[in-house]
Amino acid sequence: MKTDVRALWKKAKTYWKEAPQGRYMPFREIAAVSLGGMGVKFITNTVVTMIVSTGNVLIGNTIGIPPMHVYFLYLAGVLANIPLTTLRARIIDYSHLKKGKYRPFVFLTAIPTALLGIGFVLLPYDRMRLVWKCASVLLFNIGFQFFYYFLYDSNENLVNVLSPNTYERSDVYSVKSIVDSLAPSITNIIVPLIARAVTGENVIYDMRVYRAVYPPILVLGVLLSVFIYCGTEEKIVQPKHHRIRVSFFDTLRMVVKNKYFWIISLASCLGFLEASFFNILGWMYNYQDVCSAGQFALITTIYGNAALWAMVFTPLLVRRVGKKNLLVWSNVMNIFFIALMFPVVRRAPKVSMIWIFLVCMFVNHVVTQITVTITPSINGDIRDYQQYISGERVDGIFAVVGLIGSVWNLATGSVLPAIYDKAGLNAETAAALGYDSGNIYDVLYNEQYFRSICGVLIVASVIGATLNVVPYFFYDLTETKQEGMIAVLKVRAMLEDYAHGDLSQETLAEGMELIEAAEKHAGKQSEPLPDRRRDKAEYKRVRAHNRELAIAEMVRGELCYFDLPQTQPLFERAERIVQAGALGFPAQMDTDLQAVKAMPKGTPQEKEYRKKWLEIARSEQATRRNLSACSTRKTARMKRLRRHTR
Amino acid sequence: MKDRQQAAALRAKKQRIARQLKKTTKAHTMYTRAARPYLDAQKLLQRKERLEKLDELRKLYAAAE
Repeated sequence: MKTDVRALWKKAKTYWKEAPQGRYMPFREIAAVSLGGMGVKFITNTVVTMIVSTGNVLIGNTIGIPPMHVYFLYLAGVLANIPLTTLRARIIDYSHLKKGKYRPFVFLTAIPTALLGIGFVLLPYDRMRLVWKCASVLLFNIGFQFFYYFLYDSNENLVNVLSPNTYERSDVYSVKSIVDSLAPSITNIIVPLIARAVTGENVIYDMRVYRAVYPPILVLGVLLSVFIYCGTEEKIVQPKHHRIRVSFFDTLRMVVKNKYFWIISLASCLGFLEASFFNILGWMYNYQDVCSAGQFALITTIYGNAALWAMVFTPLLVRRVGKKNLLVWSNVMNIFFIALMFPVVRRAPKVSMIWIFLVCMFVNHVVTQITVTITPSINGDIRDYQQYISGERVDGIFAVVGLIGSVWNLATGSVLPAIYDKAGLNAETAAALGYDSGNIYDVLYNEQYFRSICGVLIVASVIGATLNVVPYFFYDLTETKQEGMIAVLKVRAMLEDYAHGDLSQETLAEGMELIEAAEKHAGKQSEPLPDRRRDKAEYKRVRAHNRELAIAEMVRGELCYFDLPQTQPLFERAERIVQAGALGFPAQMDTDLQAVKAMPKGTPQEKEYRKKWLEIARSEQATRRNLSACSTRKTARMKRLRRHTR
Repeated sequence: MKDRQQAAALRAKKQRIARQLKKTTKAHTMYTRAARPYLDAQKLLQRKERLEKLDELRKLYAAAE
């Protein structure tokens, strides 16, 4: 143990300023990201309580805005978020700041977010009329929609641009999650203590408490976020002088073609029912009186602790089984553990019900948190894939396409209340059972109804979790493929930098080493994996060898692209079009869409080749359409001009 | 008085430039959309040209080593 600690200390000292071999982030940078991330979490966790949502306690209970008004404010906030997300995406992808894509914005948006948060809690709501309360909450929320989400996105995506190594990203996300989760833990400890000191009672939802707690937390958050600005450096693999030359809508079109983005988005959209069982634990305590207050506090603490284990073990599991398998297995286990809850709520005796349920919830939370922990890293891989297929590095635009998800959430938001209603959680049942307080949740006091409603919710969750896992089976972006893509991007960056006469020694060395490795492995065959249990060392060697071969093959594919027989027609067509010039090229556009559609698509190569020709045929078709629209507009303009002259 | 006139002139100039910029950006977008096959073909040829310089890079790398 002592030796381990000493070795770790030595390692930390060695790699404090210099990153380890094959890595991009020295330990100092990881510390800066984690501490700065904790600062950002202080701000975001505080401000999120001020963002309008239908069940918001601060806005509803403390400020005193009625639920229907809150709902309209929520709708206004969601609508305002659409143009603001587009604006944020434009700023991220098109500003070309020297300091980086996300890094400067973490600090720049932390200040206004914190100022808005302080302003929000300091307003004298008790002396305001309802209309002014609503107006101020709405205005503050429009500010939050821009600055808060900018800060949140920048912090979430920062690691993706700090290292192109997918394993390193998973490791850093894990460390960062553990450190920055301290922020809500600290806040949760402080708030009840200060609330007691300020109000003299155990009341948290009091404006005086918010005024005493939030401003210092927000200032501390801003101060900590400076670590990110001062201690990090973005390392996107792209040519030095490369500037995005594609219009905003064209980048949108590019992202729409990214299949991995759709797989991940589809999974989260289809799984909207998965969270149906979340309220059951609270209901057991509240309506069935299955444990004491102290026991319930212990239960929630144990449940919250599950996330920590997921954060600790995710990097190891990613190395062992890979992200795709981890996604599939964690989601399959998720289904299993949710299904296990069904007999617990239907049959288990009341005395032990909550404890058995806690075991299921705990294991389920560990496996779901694995997915949550690797999702940012997967998003990083998806962005690399986008750069690999399109040649343009875009990050912000993903949030715009992701808006479809928020529209879907709005649409599916009514499904859960409908399930509640169908399961018997409605006014009629409450009246039939003799509860006439007007609160439909009183139905849950009845044990028979409680068990039946919870059973329905668990079945809904199982359906949601099953739908959620299906898209992951189609996710085939392995770690090796990601490494191959990064290698190709490095070679491309070297060639482009050389063409611009600005090639650095490091870029040259990195690119040429990859090319030499690719040539060294030419003609070699991958070996079958031996049994891991029999010979661990041999298993590791073969796995590393196969990985190197796969990366080398991707680099060779890039270098020999123009030697392939199927590339020749593409090249010849390109030569013809360029020779015809910018004005004469339409005469050379002769690709027949129907003929292209009839091309064979049996093998992956044929599929790839057909896809390329399809893109060409469609772009030619669009150009023909554009040109004819231009000439129609020109004729109409001429006609108008002639009429005017007459 | 002079400062105010100068400020107004500058504002007018700023507006003129913004209008011009908007017009040029629009024209550029229209061009890139209309000439997409031509630009893509250019990109492909450029890629080939760059790959042809690999031997020069090999020599450069050998010299640096």
